Amino acid sequence: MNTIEPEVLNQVQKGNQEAFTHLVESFQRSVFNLCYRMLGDASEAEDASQETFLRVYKNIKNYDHKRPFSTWLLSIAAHHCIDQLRKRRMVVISMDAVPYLDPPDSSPGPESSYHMLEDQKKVENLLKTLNPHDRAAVIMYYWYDFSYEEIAQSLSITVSAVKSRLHRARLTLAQTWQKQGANNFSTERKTHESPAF
Amino acid sequence: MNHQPFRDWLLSEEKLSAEQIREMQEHVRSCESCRQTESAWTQVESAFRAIPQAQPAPGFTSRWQAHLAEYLAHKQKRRGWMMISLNVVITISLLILVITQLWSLVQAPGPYLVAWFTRLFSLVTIYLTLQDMFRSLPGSIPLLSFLGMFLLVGIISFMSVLWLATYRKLSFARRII
Repeated sequence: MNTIEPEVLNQVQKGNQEAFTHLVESFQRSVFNLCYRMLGDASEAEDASQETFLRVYKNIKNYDHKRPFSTWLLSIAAHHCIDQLRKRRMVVISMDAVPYLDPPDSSPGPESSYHMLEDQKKVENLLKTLNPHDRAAVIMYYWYDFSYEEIAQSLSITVSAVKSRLHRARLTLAQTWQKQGANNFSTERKTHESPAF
Repeated sequence: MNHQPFRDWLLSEEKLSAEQIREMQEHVRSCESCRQTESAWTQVESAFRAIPQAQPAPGFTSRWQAHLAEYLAHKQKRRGWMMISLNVVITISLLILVITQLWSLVQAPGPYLVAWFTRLFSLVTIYLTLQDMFRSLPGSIPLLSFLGMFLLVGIISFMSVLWLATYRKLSFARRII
């Protein structure tokens, strides 16, 4: 998780646009990743990320320095994504919109990229089976290493609610995985092994 | 077969005692359903770890700067339009008022001037009546009642402002924690 110097934050709170641009540069990846995992669509994730930074820009004066900035920022992103998911509910998302991914390991190639995209889609489909709040809790816990307390603070729920949401989500994810019969998930394949062999 | 509490333990991140671990392992060995759940969850966890972090298309910061510039321009434009609209409304209202008065003056100057003098006289009379009324009040109403009323009105006003401010804070800033 990225951090930002208190001096930059002070500058941002004073309305320094250059400092804010620095902040955007530092956190764009974390925010986009969270939005993408929540929404499952690169284009929507881009819009949600831009909107998140705009909300931060408008409300930066309300930021409390006692709290880690990244937690505050990601809670804004998560709330925005939860609102978006509630709004669209029945709208089907195109699975063709795939974002830029981190460079893979030392063996880039068409097969490796294909597997990565395949895995990506499977995880997206899994996450889609969760309700927005459970999804946000899972993403914060597994991708951002947030503690129960940080998740509770970010989602405005109690710590026990976080634990029960995560427990319910794990059960749902495991059951969905079993139903999908995802035995051929590419992480189980040997590296560079073609599914054809 | 009863899967509780073993299924909870399988999916929990809480630390289990040695006894609980032994009981759970024993149950998992004999229960196909729990074994499948454990295996599925392990695979889901490894799938989560396997996928890389998604990142935005290159040029995110430039797009953000453009987005911000657009927002600021829109905000300024909206503020400008609001000022213009307010000015237009005030000007039109004043014009209507002036035109109606002028129209009456042109139509019948005598009665118009008489009506205005009558209005002015009524205002002066009202002012003098009120002045007399307030001058006699301290004698008839005790000072404490006056202060009480003043205090009551003050408290009600303060509570209203407090309620409005709290409502605004709770309803508006809820999403920006």
